[in-house]
Amino acid sequence: MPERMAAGVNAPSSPLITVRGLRKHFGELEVLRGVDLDVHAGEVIAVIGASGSGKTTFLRCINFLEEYDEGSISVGGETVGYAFDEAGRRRRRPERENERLRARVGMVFQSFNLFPHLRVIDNVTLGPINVLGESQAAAERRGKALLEKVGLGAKVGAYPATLSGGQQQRVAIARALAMNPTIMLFDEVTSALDPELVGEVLQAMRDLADEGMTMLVVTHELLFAREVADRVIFFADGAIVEQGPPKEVLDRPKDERLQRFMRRFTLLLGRPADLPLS
Amino acid sequence: MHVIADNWPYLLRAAVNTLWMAAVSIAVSTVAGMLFGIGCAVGVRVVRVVNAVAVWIVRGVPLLVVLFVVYYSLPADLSPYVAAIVALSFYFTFFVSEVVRGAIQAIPRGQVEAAKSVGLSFWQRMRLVILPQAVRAAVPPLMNLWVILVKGTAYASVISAWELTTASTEVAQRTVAPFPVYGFAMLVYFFICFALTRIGRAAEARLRYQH
Amino acid sequence: MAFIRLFIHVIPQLVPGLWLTVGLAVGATVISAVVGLAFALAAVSKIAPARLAVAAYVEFLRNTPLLVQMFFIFFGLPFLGVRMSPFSAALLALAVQHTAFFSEIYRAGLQAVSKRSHEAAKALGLGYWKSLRLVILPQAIVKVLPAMTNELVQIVKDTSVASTIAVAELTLRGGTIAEQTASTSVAFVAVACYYLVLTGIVTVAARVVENRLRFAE
Repeated sequence: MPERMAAGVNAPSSPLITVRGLRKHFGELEVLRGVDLDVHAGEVIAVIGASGSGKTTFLRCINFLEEYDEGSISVGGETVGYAFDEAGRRRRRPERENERLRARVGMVFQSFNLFPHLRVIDNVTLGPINVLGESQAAAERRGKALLEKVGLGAKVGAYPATLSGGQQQRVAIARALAMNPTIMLFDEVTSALDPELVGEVLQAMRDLADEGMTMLVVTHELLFAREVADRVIFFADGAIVEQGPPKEVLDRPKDERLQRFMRRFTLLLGRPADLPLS
Repeated sequence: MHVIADNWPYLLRAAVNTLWMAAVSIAVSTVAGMLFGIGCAVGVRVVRVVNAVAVWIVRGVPLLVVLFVVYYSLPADLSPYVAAIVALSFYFTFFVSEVVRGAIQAIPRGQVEAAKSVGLSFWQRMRLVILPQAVRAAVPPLMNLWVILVKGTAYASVISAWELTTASTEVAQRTVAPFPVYGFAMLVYFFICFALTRIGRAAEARLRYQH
Repeated sequence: MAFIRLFIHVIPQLVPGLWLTVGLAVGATVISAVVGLAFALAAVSKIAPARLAVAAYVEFLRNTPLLVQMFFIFFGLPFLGVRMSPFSAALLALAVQHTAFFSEIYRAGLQAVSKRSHEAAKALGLGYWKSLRLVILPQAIVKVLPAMTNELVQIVKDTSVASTIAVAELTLRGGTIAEQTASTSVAFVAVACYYLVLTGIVTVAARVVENRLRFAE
């Protein structure tokens, strides 16, 4: 397991994110069938699974980009999207509170979603200025530092259309970090990138993990999961079917669906000596 | 073409009326159209219903007929300029609203989600992310509408507002030389509309995202 | 209510105007659709002067009001020795204006048909006209059907301008009735209803044709 600078991974503490019995359906289709999860501060969790397994929907429930039908999510002690009374009945929280939550949870998207009409630096400072109330000067100072950190100090004044996919995604990471989030959500952030650009983004994420950021990473990059994640979670049919340290989950899959999933990726990973042959 | 040489100042003075009628109508219909377009895109039910009915009307009824309805519905002592401006403004408000509505709805959902994920409120998202992009997309079709509106001011002549077409008819009848007179009028309209189109294309090029 | 009674009274009186409106619309559509295609072919041809000529034609007609064009034709042509009835002058003006728009629509459609079709047709040995008829045009027309529908609706609406040169179509008829019965708002609202029905029919018919053609491909 990689060395971590920040505390939190080994120290016993109440979880930063708690998910209980999460259920969601789209019409007739049940997308999430009772998901339970605890995430502690500083943990890096890789979420893997086939398309349609519910992993992306799950991620998007955490910052309430998706609503959910049953169960509860709490982030940093506050319930997400709904408030529950003693009887367990729920009502929708006012949008203002959802906005506050989203300011504390950073998200990076598969299709970057940079604001094309703003320069890179303005993309990054938009949130701090308008949501955190920072001054233009302070936000720009911090924004430039963040862009330097992800290796884009030279592109501060550029427009997103002039950047490569990997560069845009790194700007998206800086934009999310500018809000000083306690948690970062990554939704298949390298899936839309040309292969040669994937590395620079994964490196930025790795640096973030080393600094102790709590990260939930939905990904197909199993090598990354193996080397950087503290825990790997496998989604199938709307629920967490297997989870554990990467070496266990990826090299010695127990669930049949996970074994099938891993077999598709043996070409990428090479075959560890103890992987069962079937 | 001594007819034109004698009369062009008169005709150009009339063209000034054309211009300010168009300008006022453009201003009113653009602002009102934006409000309706935003209201529809945001989902305000009253706005949606009114917009749907009005769009159906202006799409299906000629401007000339709308002008007559407005003219004869307003008090008789009101100047025909007012009727023309009211009719033109009403008519084009709902073409503008459809353009604006379409532009807003064409913004990819990812933009809304990215703005949400940074913690922006609804109106902040609108002001900082959605509307700036929607307006950029709406400029080309809007400028096209403006050109059509300028051409529409010609109908004001039918209700005796004095503008370029009215003046041209006067001069044509007086000098019995419709060819050069109407020809000149067409050139003036062409000049105005073509200039507007050019400005529109330049604006469109400026606003396109830097590549 | 008096309004409704008047309205019901006025509706049948507008029917004579309806025929002229339809006549103008159909005539103008047929002429513009055919001539417009020829112009569009010229506009996409390799002959530069032809392209320029069509472009100039289109630009000029786009940037001048139909009303003034109609006056120009109706009042101006007699000076060239051409005597025209108001109906013919209106029809000519409408045809001239909408030929320009149709040619733009066709041009966009033709240019949107991918190069691959052109090359495939060439490879099969089809000549210019055959490939146009069998390969290019069918694709182009399906692409531009929505724009064509708008054009048809616009032509119906533009027939109202003929009222200014004394063609007794719907709008003029409405004005006449308005003067006779001193119920101007009612008369013109009734006229508006006629146009709503006409344009509605055109839109629905076009949608039916569009669906038929879509399934055929």
